[in-house]
Amino acid sequence: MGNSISSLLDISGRALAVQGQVVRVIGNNIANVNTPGYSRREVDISTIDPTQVGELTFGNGVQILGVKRLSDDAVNGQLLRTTTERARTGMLDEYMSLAEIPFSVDQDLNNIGSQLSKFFSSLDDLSTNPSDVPLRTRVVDAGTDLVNSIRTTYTSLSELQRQANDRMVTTVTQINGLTSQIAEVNRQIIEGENGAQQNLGLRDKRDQLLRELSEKVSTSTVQQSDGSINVTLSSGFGLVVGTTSRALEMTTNPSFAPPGDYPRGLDGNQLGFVVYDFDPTNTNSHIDLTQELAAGGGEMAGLLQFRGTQGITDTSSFDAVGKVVDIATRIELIARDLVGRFNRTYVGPDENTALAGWQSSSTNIPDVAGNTSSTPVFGLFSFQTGATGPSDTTGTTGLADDTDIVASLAAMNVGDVAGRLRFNVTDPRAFAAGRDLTIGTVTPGSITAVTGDATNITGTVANTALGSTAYAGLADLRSQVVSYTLGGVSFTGTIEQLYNQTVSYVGSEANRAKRDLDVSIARESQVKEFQSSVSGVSLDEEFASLIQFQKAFEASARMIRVGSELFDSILNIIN
Amino acid sequence: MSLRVTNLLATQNFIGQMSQSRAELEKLRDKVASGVEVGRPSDEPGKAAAIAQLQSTLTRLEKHQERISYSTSLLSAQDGALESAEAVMLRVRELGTQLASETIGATQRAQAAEEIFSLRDQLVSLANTQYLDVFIYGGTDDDDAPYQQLPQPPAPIAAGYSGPGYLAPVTGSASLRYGWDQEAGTATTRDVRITDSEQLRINSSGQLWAQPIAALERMGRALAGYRTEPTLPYGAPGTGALPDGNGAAYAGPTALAEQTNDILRALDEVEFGRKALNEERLSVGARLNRLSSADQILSSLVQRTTEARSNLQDADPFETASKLADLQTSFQALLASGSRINDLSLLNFL
Repeated sequence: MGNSISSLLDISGRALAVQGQVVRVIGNNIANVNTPGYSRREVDISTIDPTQVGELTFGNGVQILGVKRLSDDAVNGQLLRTTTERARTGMLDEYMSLAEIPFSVDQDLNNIGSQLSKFFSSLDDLSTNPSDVPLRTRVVDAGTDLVNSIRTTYTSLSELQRQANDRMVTTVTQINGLTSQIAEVNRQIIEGENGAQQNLGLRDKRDQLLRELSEKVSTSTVQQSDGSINVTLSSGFGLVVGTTSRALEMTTNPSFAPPGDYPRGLDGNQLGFVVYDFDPTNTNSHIDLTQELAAGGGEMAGLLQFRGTQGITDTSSFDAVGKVVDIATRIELIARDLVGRFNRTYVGPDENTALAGWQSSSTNIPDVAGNTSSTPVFGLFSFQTGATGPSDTTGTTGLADDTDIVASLAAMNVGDVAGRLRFNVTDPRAFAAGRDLTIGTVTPGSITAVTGDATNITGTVANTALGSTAYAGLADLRSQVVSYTLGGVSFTGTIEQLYNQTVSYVGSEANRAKRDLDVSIARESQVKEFQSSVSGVSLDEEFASLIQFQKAFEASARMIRVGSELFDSILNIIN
Repeated sequence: MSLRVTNLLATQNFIGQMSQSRAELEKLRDKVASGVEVGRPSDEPGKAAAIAQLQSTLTRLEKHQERISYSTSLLSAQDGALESAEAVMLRVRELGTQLASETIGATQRAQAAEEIFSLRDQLVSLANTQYLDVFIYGGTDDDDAPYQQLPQPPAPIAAGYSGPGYLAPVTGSASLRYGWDQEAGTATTRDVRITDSEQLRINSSGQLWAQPIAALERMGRALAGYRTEPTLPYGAPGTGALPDGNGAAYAGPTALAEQTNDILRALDEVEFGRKALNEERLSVGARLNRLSSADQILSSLVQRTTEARSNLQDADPFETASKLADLQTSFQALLASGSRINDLSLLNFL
């Protein structure tokens, strides 16, 4: 009898302990209801093997087998993939939203399209009275505004590209921090678990680190038998192998490319490669991961897809493959058209040169490449002052064609016309439109003297030495269809159509980025719901369980009391 | 197994839906405030390109209209000048016809010459008509008067003007000769774009007035008693050389027949000049009609383009306000339901 009571007390005591532990786990679940990355815990309880007494079998109560995390690796893997995609599209959407601002179609904004329209209209207006200084002033103002608009738009795009490049540096640092932490958690898991009960907290922490890493870069994970995981890029390059992490680098001077070579940004300065240095003691030990990261997911892919990637053999900033480059290339084409075709059409007021395109044969005034030299001022449009460089490499009397422009850019060691474009005429009287207007002062960048040019603006002709046909005038260039090609962009149409096509392109890409983001958010949300359904904490459930185990605890306590009373009864009999 | 809904997820979903609704509300509020449906290209990429194209077209059309307005004013000024010139030429013809009669003596002719010279001055004044401070018959050299009185020798001749005044007489109205500025650009005519595909001449060369002025000078000088050289073949109107400043007085009463002949010849030239001016006036009238017609077409195009752009870009105020009201109601419902559902917990019943 006494043995039975003792067993009852044992069973009840164990049950009391088990219920208490369960309540503790429930309490922990409730405490972590809002903790990101926390997987709810469940106590695995089971019946203790019964005791056989003769032919009878007696139960021995309950025991705890362990505490488990409720987590599904397949769902977690899917969540990492959707998070990666959401981060990539989010980054792309963020930058495309910024990139489209200069292209707003609000009619009050002075975008390139409206400035082009005003410039052409001012030229048409000038035909009403070519010698009218206010009308000439309108042309000069419109030309200056157009140039400013192009420069501002291009500069804002190149700044965005530079920002994306700089942000990649931060992202690489964050990736390195996360992979380093994952490696450390791997180490703690290997050492702490050692084949025994899983360290649930560390595994939660590692899952959370993996989720944070998936925000930055697309990775795959491989579970190892010792409890650690390896984290790799799609190519199999290991970011984390066991307890070791590999730190990535952003460098403008990789060992596999000549110093100072491409990729170059829209601002002419170098962009970085993302590399891994497998042997810092060796000078030729960089592995290029840029293209792979760009093709993957996460913020890094979004940044690279916006910023653009280039091969080391490229020779122009516009050879890069990237959203911002595609947009900027179109702006560059507009700028080059002004420096090339428009200049070739314009007949400057310098009768000494008597060639189309010349603004003045006077020296010490910047030429088409912006160089102050003995080269005469060329055309209406030029580049900003830079290093010494030729304006006319093909010997066609200064009429810059595409070859000249590329050669001038190379000589100046810069990549673009759009960011340094300028309008040469600052004095409206120096605009070759009608009768002679004497100018007394010499101003660099302007004009020195104008003598008897009676050419009506609508009667200007192109330089036939270049094989061009005669143009009716600058204003007529508005309707002239041209084939534009630069980098990966090709377009045939008028200069205004090129701009409108740019607006359409920017709008489509920004809109696509938004839609992609919406889709990826929805997908991530669905997987999150599923993941939360598996691993999340529901207060209602926990409270229900709490009541359940509280009652069981109370019952177990009651059983001890019963056992105690039974003992007391026996003792009273003895006494 | 049904999907478990956890507290964190429910809260995050609620916050997500709330911020999404708030963002949509803000976007709609912007549309109501600005009245613009498409502001950024990504709002409607296809529409954005069309809007940019239409804006460019609209600017171009409006500029065409501005130029038409200016051109109409300029051509109207020319029409006025030519109308006055017609009156002058008719009066000269009338006087010349009367004075060509040999019953009119040299003295009477000399007295009538003053009126002819006065009419000549009026014609010169018309040739030097200014509009908005520029000489409308000045070509591209329009800050100089196209016609100026030439100085008597040995005074230097102004740049662009050829020859001196008449050598005889040395004083008086008959000695005054008006020359045309032949500087570069003075004969330039200007074609102005009035539509995308059409240009229109808005001025005439000042040379148009040279022959009529010379005809009046010849008439006046003949009446005043002076030859004008070249004498022949200037009789073939418009084909001969203009007067060169030479010309002596008729040799007394015996030259009356010669004087009469010169008056008659001058009459031919006056008539020729009148017709040339009339033809130009007809041309100006035709161009004014063309401008008027183009303006009407442009007004219609501007209206339709504005409508098309507005249809693409502008938000429908009623539709937007209605959407705003709907969204506002949804947002309020979301807040109410969210706060109620999130407030529900087993904890409340424990």
